[in-house]
Amino acid sequence: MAMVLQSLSAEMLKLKHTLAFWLALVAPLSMVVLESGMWFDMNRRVAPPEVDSWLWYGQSIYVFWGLLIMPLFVTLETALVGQLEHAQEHWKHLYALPVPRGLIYGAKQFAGMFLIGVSCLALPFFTALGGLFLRWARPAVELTGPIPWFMLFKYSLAIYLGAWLIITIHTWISQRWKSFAVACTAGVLLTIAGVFVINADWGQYWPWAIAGIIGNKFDENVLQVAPLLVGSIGGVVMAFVAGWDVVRRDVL
Amino acid sequence: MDTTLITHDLTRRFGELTAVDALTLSVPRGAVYGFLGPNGAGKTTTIRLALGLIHPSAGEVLLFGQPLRRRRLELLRRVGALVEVPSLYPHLSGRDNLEVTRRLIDATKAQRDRALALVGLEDDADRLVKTFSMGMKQRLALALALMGEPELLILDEPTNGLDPAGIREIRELICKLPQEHGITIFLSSHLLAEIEQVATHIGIIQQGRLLFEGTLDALHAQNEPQLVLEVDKPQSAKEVLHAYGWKVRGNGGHSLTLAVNGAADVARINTQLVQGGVNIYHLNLQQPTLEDIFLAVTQA
Ligand SMILES: Nc1ncnc2c1ncn2[C@@H]1O[C@H](COP(=O)(O)OP(=O)(O)OP(=O)(O)O)[C@@H](O)[C@H]1O
Ligand SMILES: [Mg+2]
Repeated sequence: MAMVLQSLSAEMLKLKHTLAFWLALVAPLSMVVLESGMWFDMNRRVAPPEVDSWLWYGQSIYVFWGLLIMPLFVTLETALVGQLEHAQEHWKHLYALPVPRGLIYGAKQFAGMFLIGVSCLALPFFTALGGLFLRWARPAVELTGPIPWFMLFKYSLAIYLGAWLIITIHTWISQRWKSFAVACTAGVLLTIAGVFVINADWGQYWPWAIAGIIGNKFDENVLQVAPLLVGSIGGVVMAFVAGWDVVRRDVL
Repeated sequence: MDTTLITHDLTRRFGELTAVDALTLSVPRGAVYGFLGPNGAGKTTTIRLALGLIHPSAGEVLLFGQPLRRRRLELLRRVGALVEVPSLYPHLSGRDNLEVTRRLIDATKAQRDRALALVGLEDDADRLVKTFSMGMKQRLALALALMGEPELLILDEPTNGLDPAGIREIRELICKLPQEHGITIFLSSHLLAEIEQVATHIGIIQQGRLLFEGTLDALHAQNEPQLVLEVDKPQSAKEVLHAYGWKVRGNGGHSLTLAVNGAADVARINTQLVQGGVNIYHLNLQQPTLEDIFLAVTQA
């Protein structure tokens, strides 16, 4: 156990002064700025009459975040975390240390989950701040009700858990291939594919669409349990498969 | 003999290519073992095999008498390594670079700072590594390998890309480690001149095969010195020497070369030629340099 904590703390130290670390805050912030900017521009009630404006506002942010920004952000973060090791060929150093290879890989997986976790934790706060700003600057959008804190956190957490599968897949891709371009291209294509397959019956189980499917039911407050389980449990299973692949492979 | 690294018929193929071919070598404790071979000879592949980074196609690696395959982690605890380019994080300070590995291998902070002092980087330890010179980076990578206080240090071309001053710094460190800290060093290089100054033992590898293994003295002894003569009548000189049983080679002009066993032979040849009516202008006994030997061994 001490070994696990040690390897995690080593992983955290590597993130010091990195773009990856700052992106974890910049990504959710820019999502909120984008959506708030649109509301600011419209300067009128955006939500349908029967829906609370806060829910509509949160929904707009969470869908877009879950379906597009977050999968792309997962791609970028895992690729950056991977480049940390590929750029100076660290794998040969790390895997020649007297530390189980699975632990070294596991710490990588954790670094990705940690960074995405930070942004999913920040998202509700940024969303609330954006809403409060609009309430003050644009009373016409009618964000008058109380801030739905519980909903904001519940769905951000659900989106996060649902994204475990893609975090795992992209962690594996970014370790397995040296090229930053390969990691990014894979993520962009698979994410865009999600936008197209989302309406198919099986579309809700497309790993890159799961977070979007969950975010899409924010305003109705219907938790999409099946996709959530596929995303989270699938992520854990996939992490073990990826770890097994990494442990037995030659380090060239 | 007390050994550190041993390989038995170690073989590694990449598709059709056999990068390491039934390699059997043994590194005695306390040695500075120079692992010498031209580019593409299989040095790095051997080192990756010795560290368990890649799996052998056949044969095995023993570290401290125990099979690497079964006790990898336990054995690697006693080994420090620097494979090809140094693996550093440019965005972190020198000390933080060591700190990352320190946390992983659970070394103490005292060990970390001692390793920094050992390579002479204690004053620059808090600068970002991206501001380091090549030589400093290489020394930091050495500190990384030394932090766990290894018994065996494996270095793959540690002076690659360094200027003469940088090369000297590394060389001095390599000489100091076995003497002051009892560390055995396994050092690869494609430059003989570099190895010659530090190594006690030499292994020569080419196309994955070990062509020679032994002490530096044994390598010298393998090749006889050569006597180069300049005489007035090369043809009759050849005949005289043949009659006495020497193997003579003409170099064109008035020059001849023959293999001898030492100074006594030179005196004898001198007498024989003079008695045979040949005048000698010039007589030069040449010890072959290691460079000659290396070329002779690898081009045989
Ligand atoms: N991953 C790989 N796939 C295919 N061939 C490889 C691989 N790694 C090494 N080789 C080949 O194996 C041979 C030995 O390579 P190796 O890197 O061990 O040589 P080396 O002695 O370290 O050379 P250098 O002095 O250039 O570093 C070379 O012919 C190389 O092309
Ligand atoms: Mg090499």
